[in-house]
Amino acid sequence: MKKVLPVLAVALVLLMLPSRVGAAEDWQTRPIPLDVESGVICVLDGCNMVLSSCDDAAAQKMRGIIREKMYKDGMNRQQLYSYLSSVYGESVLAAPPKRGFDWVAWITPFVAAAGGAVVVYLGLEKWVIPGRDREENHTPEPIDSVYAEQLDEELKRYL
Amino acid sequence: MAEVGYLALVLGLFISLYGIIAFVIGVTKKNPAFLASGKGASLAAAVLSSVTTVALLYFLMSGDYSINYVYEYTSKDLPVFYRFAAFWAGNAGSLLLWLFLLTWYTVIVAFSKKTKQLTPYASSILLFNSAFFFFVLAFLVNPFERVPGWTPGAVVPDGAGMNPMLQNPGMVFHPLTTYLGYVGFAVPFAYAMTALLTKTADDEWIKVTRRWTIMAWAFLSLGNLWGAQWAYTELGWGGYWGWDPVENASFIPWLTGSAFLHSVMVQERKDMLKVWNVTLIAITYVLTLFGTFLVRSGVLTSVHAFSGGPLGRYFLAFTVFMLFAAIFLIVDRRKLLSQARSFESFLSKESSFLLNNLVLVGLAFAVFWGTIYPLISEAVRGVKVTVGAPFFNSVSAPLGLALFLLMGVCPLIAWRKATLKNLVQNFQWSAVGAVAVAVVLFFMGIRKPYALASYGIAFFTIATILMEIFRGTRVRHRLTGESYPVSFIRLLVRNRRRHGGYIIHLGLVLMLIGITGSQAYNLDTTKTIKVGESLSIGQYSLSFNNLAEKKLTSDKDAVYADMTVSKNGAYVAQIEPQKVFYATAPDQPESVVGLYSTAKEDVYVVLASWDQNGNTTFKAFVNPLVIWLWIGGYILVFGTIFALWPGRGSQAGSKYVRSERLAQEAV
Repeated sequence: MKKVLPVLAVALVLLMLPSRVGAAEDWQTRPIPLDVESGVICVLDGCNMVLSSCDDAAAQKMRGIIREKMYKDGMNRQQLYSYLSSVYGESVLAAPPKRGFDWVAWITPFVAAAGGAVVVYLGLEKWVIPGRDREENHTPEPIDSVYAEQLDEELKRYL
Repeated sequence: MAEVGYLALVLGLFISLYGIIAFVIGVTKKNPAFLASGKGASLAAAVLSSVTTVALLYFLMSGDYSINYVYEYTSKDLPVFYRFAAFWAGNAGSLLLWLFLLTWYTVIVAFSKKTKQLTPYASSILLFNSAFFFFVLAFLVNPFERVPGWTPGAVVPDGAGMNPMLQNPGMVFHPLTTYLGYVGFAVPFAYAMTALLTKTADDEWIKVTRRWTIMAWAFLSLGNLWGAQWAYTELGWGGYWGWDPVENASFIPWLTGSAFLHSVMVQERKDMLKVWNVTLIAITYVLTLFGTFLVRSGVLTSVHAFSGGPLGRYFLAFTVFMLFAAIFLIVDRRKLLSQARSFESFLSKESSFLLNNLVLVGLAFAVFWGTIYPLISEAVRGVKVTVGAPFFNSVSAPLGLALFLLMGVCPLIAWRKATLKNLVQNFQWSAVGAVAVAVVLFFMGIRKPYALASYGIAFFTIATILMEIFRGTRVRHRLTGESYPVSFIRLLVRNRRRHGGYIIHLGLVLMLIGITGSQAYNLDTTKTIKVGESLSIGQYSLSFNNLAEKKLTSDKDAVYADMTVSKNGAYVAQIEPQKVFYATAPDQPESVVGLYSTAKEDVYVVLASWDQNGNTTFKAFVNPLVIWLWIGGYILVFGTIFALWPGRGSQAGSKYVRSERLAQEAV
């Protein structure tokens, strides 16, 4: 057994070697998912395009960094983004992080839309003639002569 | 010649200022001579802007590289097509294009015989705009400035050349249409302000400017569409809309302009929303200026931006001035614009237009907010952030879907009032069909909630529109005895305004289908391979046959990859992704995408890089349904032309307000 273990160890190392070399080559050429690239800005040369849209030398360098961190160091997307923003500043991320003051960025459009909805509701409350809805639901209002004329006119035009 | 062009700018400034004074004196003193003189000044300003335009075009075409603008954007080898387009490739030229369009629009307004009472005021406001642009061109970005160090008589042999990315047919059409849209919104704005100045509370200004507004909106639509197509085929990143601040700057006024086009119908029919309509067109116009400010100020990072400089400050000052002038007028005349309580139901077409406006303006605000948020973050936290596609996609998707749902619902709701019974009758089959479509798609493997909602809503909207047209055709057939095809055509033609709107909606829904497919289910891969190898993506296999070089023109060479596209093992096409190298910009190669496009999907291949060992890297995408985005866009433009075409069927319907006679009868 004492003789077998070193042999196994050597064999294991030998088995691992090609795979490690392979892994080293692999992580350098492995594709980066589009959605990961789309979340990063190419900041190295100041082109400031989304990385997925950029193909210059700086973009290739950034892709190298991302591959290293994701495939060699095993970072997940969140860890990668945290790493990049700690090195290059928050402007390296294609969207503000959902934390602290930056929540304002994400929430404001929906708060504004909700506020607008309230304004529209209040406007309708103010403008709708009281009782007209109820009248309509119970007893249909006869078409008066002016509307009848309009209807004829519209029909003529329509036809 | 350069001196003539420059002199025309300076003269144009003074003539525009004179025109304003002449119009003001003409209307206050009721002096026809001054009014005629104001018109003459408008024409003179247009002629002078044309002289400047012709002068710059002359230099661009003749290749006088001692003119800095010509030097920066052209070179000897540049084809005539792009020499012409270089006119608006840079800051000064694009502002001159704006001025040229604005001054001729002013002439059309000034000589219009439709509204003699409003015209002098509107012309003055437009001339004020022109004066600003004349000033900017004459004193801040002179297009005739010579290259640094130039001495009279010296010849500059060649120019720096145009940026390779601009050497695309999109360069000719996209900026031109975008500017036609931007400038077009100045006219309804001028008339809206005129209505306030003259205390004219009726909807005359809306009638007069309807065509202007729709034309401006259509051009802006086309500008955005062609910009997206250009980005798709030229930039080589697999997408068509990057939510860049400058792209947003043309999208936001498109949204508010769309809201305006809908809300004016309420004023036309019900004499309501007067304050809102004036506010909306003012916002739209100010946003066009804001967009121009963004491009020229350098405050935000954009791939489209011109270099910074003092120009941005002047634009900001002008934009703020026009904004506050509009706000002052609206607030000052608010009583004039007050409206009676005249909605008859919560459930009516007019109330549905309010919802439509809420969503459109909400979406415009969301995009605006995201665009300026980096400035807010920097001001508040001192930290610069980037706001890009992940943010805009997240906030715009729910609002966008709500908008498309309303697009299906609103047209079929009656004016004045509708009942729940009406709604059920009108929408039950469309709604059932939409749910069925979503269920079928779910079982076909589409599981993303937004995609399911999007396709369900798309079906609902298409179904309601087609059923409405079918119902109309059937009624017409019964009443007139015409054959179904004749009834169908006459139905559309006799009310082109309404049916043009439906066609536009259909176009937009097709665009939604394209956007959803390409955003939710695109595939991508990046792979380095050698000749003889292949890469796979989805059902496609791309065989790399050869990498070679060819000379395209005397100043540009292309490195291209010959590739065979197969689908499930069967040959479908040959594509040739390229990198084109320009002698004037060897470090900035242009990507020419290898594209195989079908109704179902696009196979989109970019030749990214290669080395001496033959390792060649490709980025490949499969973008589903993209072609429907373009088809929908052109249907939208067709619908606009259809609605605008003059003659019977293009007028607004009758007003739905209770007349005085009716009110008395009711009493």
